[in-house]
Order: sequence, then structure tokens, then C-alpha cells
Amino acid sequence: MRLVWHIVKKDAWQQRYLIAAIVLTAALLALLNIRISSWASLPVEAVRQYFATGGVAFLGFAMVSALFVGVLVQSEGLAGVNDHWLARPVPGSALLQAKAIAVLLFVVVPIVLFQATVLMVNGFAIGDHWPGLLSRTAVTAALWILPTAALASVTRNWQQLAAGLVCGSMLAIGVAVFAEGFGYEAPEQFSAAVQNATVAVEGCVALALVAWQYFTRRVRIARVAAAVGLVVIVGGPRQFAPSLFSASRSVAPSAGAKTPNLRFALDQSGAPRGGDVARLTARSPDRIVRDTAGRVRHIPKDDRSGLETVTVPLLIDGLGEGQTAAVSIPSEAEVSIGGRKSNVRLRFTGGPGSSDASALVFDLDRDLLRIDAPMNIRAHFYVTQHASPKRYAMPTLNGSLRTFETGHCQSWVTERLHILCQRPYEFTSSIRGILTRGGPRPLNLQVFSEYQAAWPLIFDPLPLPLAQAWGGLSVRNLDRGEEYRDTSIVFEVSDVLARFEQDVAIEIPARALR
Amino acid sequence: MSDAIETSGLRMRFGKHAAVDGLDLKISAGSVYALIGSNGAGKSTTLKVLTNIQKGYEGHAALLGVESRRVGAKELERVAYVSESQEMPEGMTVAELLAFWRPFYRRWDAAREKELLDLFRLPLDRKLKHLSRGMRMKAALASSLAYHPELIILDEPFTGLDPLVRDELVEALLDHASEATILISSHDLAEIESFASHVGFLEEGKLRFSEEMSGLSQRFREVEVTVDQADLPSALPKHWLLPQTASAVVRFVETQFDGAGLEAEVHSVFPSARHIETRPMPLRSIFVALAKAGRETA
Repeated sequence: MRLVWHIVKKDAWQQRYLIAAIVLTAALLALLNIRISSWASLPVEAVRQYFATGGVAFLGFAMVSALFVGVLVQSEGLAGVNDHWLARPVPGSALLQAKAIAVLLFVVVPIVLFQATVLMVNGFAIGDHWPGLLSRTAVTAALWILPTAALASVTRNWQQLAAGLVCGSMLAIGVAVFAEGFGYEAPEQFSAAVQNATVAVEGCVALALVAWQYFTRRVRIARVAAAVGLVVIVGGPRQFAPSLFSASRSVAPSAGAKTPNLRFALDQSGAPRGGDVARLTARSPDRIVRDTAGRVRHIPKDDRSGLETVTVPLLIDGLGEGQTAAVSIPSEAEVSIGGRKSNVRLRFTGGPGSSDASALVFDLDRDLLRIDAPMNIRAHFYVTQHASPKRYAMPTLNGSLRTFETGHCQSWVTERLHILCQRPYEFTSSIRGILTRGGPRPLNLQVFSEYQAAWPLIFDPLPLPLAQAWGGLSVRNLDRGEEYRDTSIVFEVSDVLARFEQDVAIEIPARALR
Repeated sequence: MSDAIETSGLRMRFGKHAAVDGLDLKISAGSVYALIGSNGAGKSTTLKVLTNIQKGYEGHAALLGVESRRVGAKELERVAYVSESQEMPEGMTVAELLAFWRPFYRRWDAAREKELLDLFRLPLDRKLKHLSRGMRMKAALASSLAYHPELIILDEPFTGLDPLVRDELVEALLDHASEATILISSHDLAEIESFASHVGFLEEGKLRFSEEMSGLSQRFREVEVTVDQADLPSALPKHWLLPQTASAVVRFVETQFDGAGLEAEVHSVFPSARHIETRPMPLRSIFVALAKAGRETA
């Protein structure tokens, strides 16, 4: 360990200017975000200025820290046979430990401190949000620190490293485009899961490469592995995420115990019943379930919409007291008739809950219906089961509310009435606002992740450690919004209990289409 | 005497090209072994394989009794390796370089370090990137000799250095010759000749010969034969290299010189030989003759 620290001290001294730059940019980021909650009340132009500066600071931080990691790894290069240390008594394990400590101290710690400062100054306790802080830091490491280290370990100098970063990014974009065109596009419900899987795979591949290089220095194998790893990282999780999640579900012992008794029916007669009912197994919110649906036959023509529409009532049963179910669908379904395949538009009608009016609607091309053959439709839909909501109220005018679930919510009046909730990293529950003026009226609250900005700005590269839920209302009295006096906003937050993905296979006999 | 270095059937390929091709080499402990050969002969690769810098060899190679692919920190603590192609930490000063390596060696000798610094007159506060080639080589050598290595491996240490610096390096090496085995690859044959005890000639990855320097000097002679008519017969002894004729004189390099034997052999090949003159050859001439002969054969 003595030698490990000796190497760390050497690196710290040799890279002191880069370390100073990292600390400075991190401090600048913290400074810019120190009163992030008060930005909301500033004019848009001022916020734009802040964001522009913050964006530059963040890009500077990312570039300087990547440069530091690259120089750090290449100061005892692993890719060539001419580096001075290779014939010295330096164990690869000691070198790896030293580099890891240096990255931890001089890159990761500033990232953590930056986030912790922003959270604390904005009134959020670190103790409540440390999982988010750690996972966000891990994501940062997996996204650019580890890949940079991996690339630095298979290149001989910074020129090769820079070329590798550029080529790697281009390859990643190419593979992503290819995968997007031909593969599995993650639905919104599972995009976070796919994103997490991508980041996890990326981090693991990069870490394995770095360790491999420090212990073996077999650069040719490492370079091939890096190229294959890149393709897997970009294409893999998108392609295989549903199967992986299903597979992991089957070995998760706790999955069955928490199964909510939620059932779906695709039936025109009403209540879900055996035979036509596809019973689904619930999972924790971030996992995917893909079951084979029961077949629904003899779907009649929809008299109201004409022949070109097939409507399949979707009934949801088994929701607990106060629970709701939100249904979402992809925009298209696949139809095959008489050996001909095509895509048709798919719509969902109805709102959350087990409303009788809920239905899947397939818009069919009239040409298809002229073919005298049975029609098979394949589609899938997603259901998110929400728990009974918790409610929190705050005055509509100049209100302020701070809870664990909603984060810090505020409202203020400029040319509009603004409502903004900020919560560290993400909203773990779904959040919606209800205005009590003239009877309950839903507010359109848009939720932005930490990587997005609520303000109407151009692309912003600065990932804030706070996620935001943003909404606005028009006001008649521009000064004070008098019409909202004595009203309140009720925030409903409900945990996601489960998410489902369900395949639907519909066979319609030829006679039913005539 | 035990062997500090031993290889048998050593092969190192880069794609289809074999940089080292079936090398059998033994270097006794305490010897000063000069490995000579043209560019691309496989000298540097051999040294890197031995120290486990270059991975992926076939056959057997051992350094201080340990198979080269298993050579690690424990063995490298007893080895000094300095190469002209070594990439040094440019941002470090000489003092920082020495301070960095000091804790890695249990036998680091501060007094020896000071002696070397005095001998080389190294500017401690100067960064390596601001040093001349010769000074950088001295810095590398100072940081490699201060811990009394048992084996010193030098890869072309004199390339591009002026004679004064070469002398200083040789002086430092000679100081260590009594306590270490030295393996040196170099093109500077005049310098090597002055202190090498053994020499090996590597050509296209193969060791053409390996023997004591004194034996080599005795074995090689430049021969000049005065004859009536200088016509070369179609078949000459294979140990005569580079035969040439000029008016009534035939010249060649004898590689198996033994005095009386040569005279008899010359007369059998050239019955009209009137005068035979032999001259000892410096290592440089031997190397050139071998290299030319090798090219002609190829």
C-alpha cells in the first residue's frame, strides 16, 4: 500500500495543473447552481445566461476530467513496449489501485462534492438522497470516466486516445442508428431500464478492459474486445433488454410474492373471465414482463366507425382500493392477411382505471379488407399500475411546499402563474397537480429529468442534480393573479407498483370482415 | 558459473514475421555480453522478451532463473534495463525521477546514487524533456544503477551520443562490471570491444555465433594472398568470407584461423601463392564482414 500511495502522490504532483482545473470547474458548477431554486423566479434571459455559463463549465469539467484520466493512465502506458516503467518492479495491481485512487480523489470526489453542495444549499438533506447521489456518480463514472480510462489503456498517446474517442463515438452513433432501424426500440416505460442496462454494461465492459490491461497488457486482444464491447454496449441492451429482464424475473425469488392481482381482458362482452383473460405477473416497476396473450377471436366489425376500424375493448380488473392503471401503446401494430404483411395505426381510447370505455383501436386500410382471407393482428401494450396517491396541498399564489415525494414546490406569478417542483435526481413517484379553483381541475405538469431543463431553452448540456416538474397557467391580473387567491394546488403523488408489457394476438375470420 | 540468461528455441512472431527465430542463448553470470547484429536482426525484441516487456513468445526464455513470462516485480528489482527507445516521463525532473523509483528498490544505495550524479553531472532540477539525448540516457542509467542490479540490460545505449558521453557511460558500466552481468546490444562495436567479454551475432532472428571475445579475435583474420594469377576457383572453403581479387592479390576473411592450418589450406587452393599476410580484425570489421557475407548468401 505504501507504493500505491507513492504512485498516487507522484501522479498528483505531475498532474497538479489538471487537478486544479478539475477542482476549479467543479467549484464553478457548484457556484452556478448554488441557488438553483431561485433561478425559477429570474427572467428567462438571466436564466439563459446562467445556463450558457453552466454549460461551458460542465463541458470544461467533462473535458478536463477526461484529459486527466487519459494522462493518468498513459503516464504509465499499457499499450506499447517502450514505456519506462515496464522494466521496473511495479506490480500491475499496485498501479491499478493507485490510478483508481487518483480518479476517485481527483475526479469522483469533486463530482460528489458539487452535487452535495447543490443539494444542501437548496435545502435537501444528503441523508435522504444518497442513493441518487451515488447512482448519479456511478453513471457519470460509467458514462465517460471508465470508457476514457479503457481507451487510454489501449492507446499509446493522447493523439491516439483522441482519435479513439472520436472514432468510438462515430461507431456508437452508427451502431445506434443501425439498431434503431432494425431492432428493439425501448418503449417509454422501459427506456430508463434500457438506459440503466446500457450504462451498467458500458461500465462493466470498460472496467473489465482496464483491469485486463493492467494485469496482462495484451493490447491486441483488448482492442478487439473494446470494439466488440462498443457494439454490445450500443446495440445489446436495446436488442435484448426485454428478454434479459424476463429472464432475470424468472430467477427473482421475491417477484411472485408481490404479485398484484391485476388482470386484463380483451373481450366485447364486459367482465374479464377465464379463457380470454391473460393474467399477468407483476414485477417491480423497472422490470419487463412479456407474457403470451390469450387469443381473442371473432372480433365483430365496429359499426360506429365503419369497416376500417377494429375496436378491441380492454378491461382491467384487480386494481386495489384507490389504485389506477395507465395504459400506453406503440403507434403501430402488425397485420397479416392473405400472406401480405403491413403495419396499421394503433390507438388507445379511455383514461386511467378500469373504465369500460377503454379500448385498443386498429385503423385498417380498406384495401386490406378486400382480401378474402382471415386477418391476424399482432400488437402489444403497456400498463403501469399506480398505488393509491398521497396528496399534498399548497396555496396557488406564492405557495411553497417541501416533502420527500414532491421535493420543493413553489409557485409565483410573472406574465403567467408558474408552478415548479424540484427534487434531487428524479421523481420516484408519478406526480400530478390539481387546481381547486371552481372544482378540481388537472394541471398540466411536465416532468423533466435531471438531464433536461424545464426552462424554454435550447439544448442544454448541463445535467443538474435536480429533476423538475413544471407547469403554468394563464393569469388575467398580471400583477398578482387575483383570480387564484384562496385557491390551492393539490399535488398527487403515487408510487408505481408494477409495469406490464402484454402481447396481443387477434385473429379475425374472413367472414367477419365481409 | 550459472546462467543469468538462458533461451532455447525462442521464437517471437509479429504476424507472419518471426523477429526472433529459434534463438538458443546462454549468458553466464558475471560476463559482459555484447549482442550484435544489423537493424531488424531481433536484438531489441530478444531483450524485451527476456524482461517480459514483450509478451507472447514461444519456446523457453529465462531471466535470473525465472521463466520470462513469469518475470515480475521481484525479479525486476534485481534488473536494470535501459533502452535508447525508452519513453521517459518527460514532465519529471531528474530529482523527481530518482525520488519516484527509490522506494521500489530495497537495495537502493543513496551513496551510489550520489556517485552516479557526480559522475554524470546531471542537473537535478531540469525536466527530462529539456535534457539532451545524452543527458537523458545518463538519467536513465543513474536511476538504473543506484540499486546495484545483478543484471544490466542495455539496448543500444550509445546510439546518437558523442564520444565524451559514451566514455562516461562506459566508465559507469565498468564500475559495475565486477558485481553484475551485463547484456548490451549495440552498433557501437568499438566501445563494446573495449569491455565485452563475450559476443553473439544475431542475424534474422537467429544466433550465428556466440563466444568469448578473445576467441573471436583469434578466430577471425583478414587474409591477403599474393599469387601469380588471381583467379578465384569455383569452390572455396566455406569459412572464407568475402573473397575478392585485385591484380595478383586475393583477399578474404578467415573465420577459423589457426596459423599453420591456414597456410596449408591457402596453398592447396592457390598453388601459386607466393606470400600470405594475415591481420587481426577489430570487432567492427568482423561484424561488417559477417553482415556482408550474410547478405550475399541471402
